[in-house]
Amino acid sequence: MGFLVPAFFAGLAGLAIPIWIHLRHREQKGAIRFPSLMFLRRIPYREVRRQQLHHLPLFLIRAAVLILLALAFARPFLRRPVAAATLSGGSQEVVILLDRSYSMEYGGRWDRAVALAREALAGLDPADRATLILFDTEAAVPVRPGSPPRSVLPVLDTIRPGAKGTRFAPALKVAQDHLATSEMPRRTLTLISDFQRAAWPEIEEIALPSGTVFQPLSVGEASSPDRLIASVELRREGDGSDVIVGARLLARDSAVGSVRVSLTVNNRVLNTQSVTLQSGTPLLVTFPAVTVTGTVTRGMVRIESTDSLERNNVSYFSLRRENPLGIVLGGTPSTSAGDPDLFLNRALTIPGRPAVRLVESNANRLGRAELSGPDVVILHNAPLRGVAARTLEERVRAGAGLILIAGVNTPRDAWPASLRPAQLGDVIDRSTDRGGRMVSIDRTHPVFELFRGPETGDFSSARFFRYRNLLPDAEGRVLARFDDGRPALVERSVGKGTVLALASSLGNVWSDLPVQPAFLPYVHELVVYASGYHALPAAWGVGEVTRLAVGDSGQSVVVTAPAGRRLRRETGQDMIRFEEPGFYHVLEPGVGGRELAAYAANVDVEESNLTPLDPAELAIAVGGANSGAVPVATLATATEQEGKQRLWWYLIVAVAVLVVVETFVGNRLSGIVRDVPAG
Amino acid sequence: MATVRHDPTAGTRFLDPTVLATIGNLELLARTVVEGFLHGLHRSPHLGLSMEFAEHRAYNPGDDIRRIDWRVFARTDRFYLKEFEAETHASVTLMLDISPSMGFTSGGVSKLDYARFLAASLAWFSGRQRDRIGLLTFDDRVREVIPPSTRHLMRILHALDRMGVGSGGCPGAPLAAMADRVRRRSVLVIISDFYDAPDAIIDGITRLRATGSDILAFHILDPAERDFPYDAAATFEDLESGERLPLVPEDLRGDYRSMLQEHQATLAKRMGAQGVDYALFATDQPLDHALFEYLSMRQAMVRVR
Repeated sequence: MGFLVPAFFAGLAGLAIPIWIHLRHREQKGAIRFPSLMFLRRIPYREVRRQQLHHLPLFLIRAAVLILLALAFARPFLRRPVAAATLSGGSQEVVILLDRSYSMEYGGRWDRAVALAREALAGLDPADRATLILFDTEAAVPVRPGSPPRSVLPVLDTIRPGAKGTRFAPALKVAQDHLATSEMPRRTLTLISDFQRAAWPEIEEIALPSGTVFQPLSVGEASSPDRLIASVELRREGDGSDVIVGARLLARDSAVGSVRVSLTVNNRVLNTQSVTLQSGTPLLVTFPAVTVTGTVTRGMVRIESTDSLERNNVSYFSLRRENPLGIVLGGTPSTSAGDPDLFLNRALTIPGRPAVRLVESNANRLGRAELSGPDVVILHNAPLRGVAARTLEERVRAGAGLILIAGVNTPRDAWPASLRPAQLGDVIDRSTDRGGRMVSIDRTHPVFELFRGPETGDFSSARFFRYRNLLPDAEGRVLARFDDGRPALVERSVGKGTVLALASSLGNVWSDLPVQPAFLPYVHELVVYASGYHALPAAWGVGEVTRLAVGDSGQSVVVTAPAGRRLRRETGQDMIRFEEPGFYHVLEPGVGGRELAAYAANVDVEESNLTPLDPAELAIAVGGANSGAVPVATLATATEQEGKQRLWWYLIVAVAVLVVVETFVGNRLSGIVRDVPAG
Repeated sequence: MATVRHDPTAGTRFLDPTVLATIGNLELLARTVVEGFLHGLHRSPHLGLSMEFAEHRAYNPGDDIRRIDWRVFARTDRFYLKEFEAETHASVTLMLDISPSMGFTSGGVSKLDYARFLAASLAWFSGRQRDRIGLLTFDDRVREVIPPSTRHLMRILHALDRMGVGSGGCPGAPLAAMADRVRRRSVLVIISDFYDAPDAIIDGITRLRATGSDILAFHILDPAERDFPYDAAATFEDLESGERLPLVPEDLRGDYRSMLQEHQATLAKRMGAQGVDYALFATDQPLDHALFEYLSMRQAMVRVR
């Protein structure tokens, strides 16, 4: 119920006068100060013992007359979320945004959405113009924008929900641009969706053109029970060939109870378990270890039950056999003062991903045999000369990594010019001023990217008492500096490989960095970066793009989609886009070509979060106070609705009837009074 | 001067609002409340949201190596992980109602003092976990704005310390106006007695929600407002408007209580529908109730995200 002129309710204040006259009050004491009389004011005042209210029926009739009059003048109308187009003339531009994310497969959402779209189009005049925008995380326009409504209708028979998530912003942006260029006198934007909160993660800069009527139509249900696989976690054991698979299952709303969940590897069901799900509480199911053999291992975890949303009941992953990183640590022999390479050695032997195969050796004895195999060579406080230098240069140019760490045993000419990122200078002694700090750090560089967030590694607490003055060569790039501006870490690319130079040794004499929490991840990141190692994810999300990591970039391969469709690939094109969940197979060309790799793609689990968004919230966000966009049935359409309903007329008729009744009752009461015999 | 009762058995005695009112320094008060609260919390089975260190556990391949306690390794030659409770670095804005109705007291601390204590404690608490913290005060309009920052804790405590009641007003309109001042997704904590029509309040809340922020609404009431314990007929004066109304309280008590309860239920229901966490507190309740409520709500937010 709405009112066109609610100011006329002020007339109801007149009711207070007779009420007030009828009430008599007792003597009052001192006033009690109270926070708010908001509620007390609403309670009809009753002084029970003294209150006399004569002729109650007559009073009620007269009060009703006053109330109905005020009501009639306020011009009431019933709010109905109908399109403005049905109430007033003139052609209009109508844009229909239809959500086709996979959550629309839930229950009967898609059928309801299509029916609403059909209804909206069918209600338009032939002179109107309609644009249908299908959206998930992206927006697509299947029919030429601004087409006659009838030409858009057939499209609704051919479309189905996809496998992607929902984002309102791209679709609203397309609609905003289209409506802004429309020359039609009226514009309406209808958004048909299940209105998931996740689809509107943050405020977007979208403002609909002035005068646009925004009509959100929700097809979501109040309750949406669902079982899903929230995530699959893979943990490599030992040398990385054994993988423990864990799956987190979740039940939303009332979808609790016992379910069976299975692990399938290379089309063979390896293990099935029965578990009981509690609402809203993730449950981790761990399966026996899977051994990765061969080039391709395809895995799948599936909830073996049917529910209203099937797509999130399965999660795919693919595993590849990973060889451990070969690292040679060339250091100096232990002395009575201890092992100078101890901290570095211990940091490198931590089992993790990638797995590491460490060989420690005296740097002076490194020869061609030791240096021809490893992925990374670390020279800790040791010079690089002769055969070792020549062998390493060949290895680095072929793609290996080299980490040069300066110290007291590295004279100025310890690093050959063809490999070094920087020339070695004097020893800088900072032991007299409490040590230097590493402050200027390029946290966008892969070595330091891990430390970008707050409290992820504090280098400023490490003190460097001695370090070498590094003088970067022309190709050297400084990644970190000490507080006196001298380089702490310099990088250089040589051929396909990378060389990193550190100004201070990684024992606990020149600095206390090795006893700081940041040391371990720092060393790990240095090694991983130098080796050029890139961990391939076990699965990608639908909609993501990746580069094929199979053979050389020029190798000819065939890629098939999960549904068996062969993807067309241009020559030299080694990118792949995941459009549906399942396995994308990379095969050698020809009939019966060998499978070279498999890429797993999963639906976005965030889309499974069916928590609804209040459409009014979205209306405010896209409408805004300044844009002039209005939600359905607000003031712009209120006049039209009130004009069509004319409820005031019925109220006036009721007032007239009541006045007649009041006259009759009043006369009766007057008669009774007159008939009372005098004293 | 208030009398301090020392009860050695009262585990939460430092959080009793009446006792807290005897601490003149708001910074000391906030620290006392939060540290005392967390001290008690660590001994309890309810580990709350904080960046507090919880325990060590053995390292397993695949764990984040940044969590390895390198110092423990030096002593034990084994790798252990430091386990922390969930960390957030959110932007928290405290929105404090300073309208005259908040100045009401029926004997203990006033609602405004209770709100100040609560805001100071939440500010200290947020500062402790490196959140950006800001303050907004309002009556019929926005009065004071301290934007969220990790460096504004002392400024906020100072502002709370010198704060007095403002002029009359309902929270609905200023809440809506405050939406324009929220520049980024934040945690908004509204502390008010919410004397306004639910429609107006929800309208303001909706606009605040439209900024993408998470909202916690703390509804503060004096026990006298809740129970309406007055008997003798008297003239009641509205602290907001100065309006006077002659009343017979004993006749109205039942209606008043049910209307107040309906108001609370409406606010709780409609705020819940907006995804806003609503909690009601009386000024005779210890502050740890409110802090625990705050922690629970923040934890729920973390789970949702």
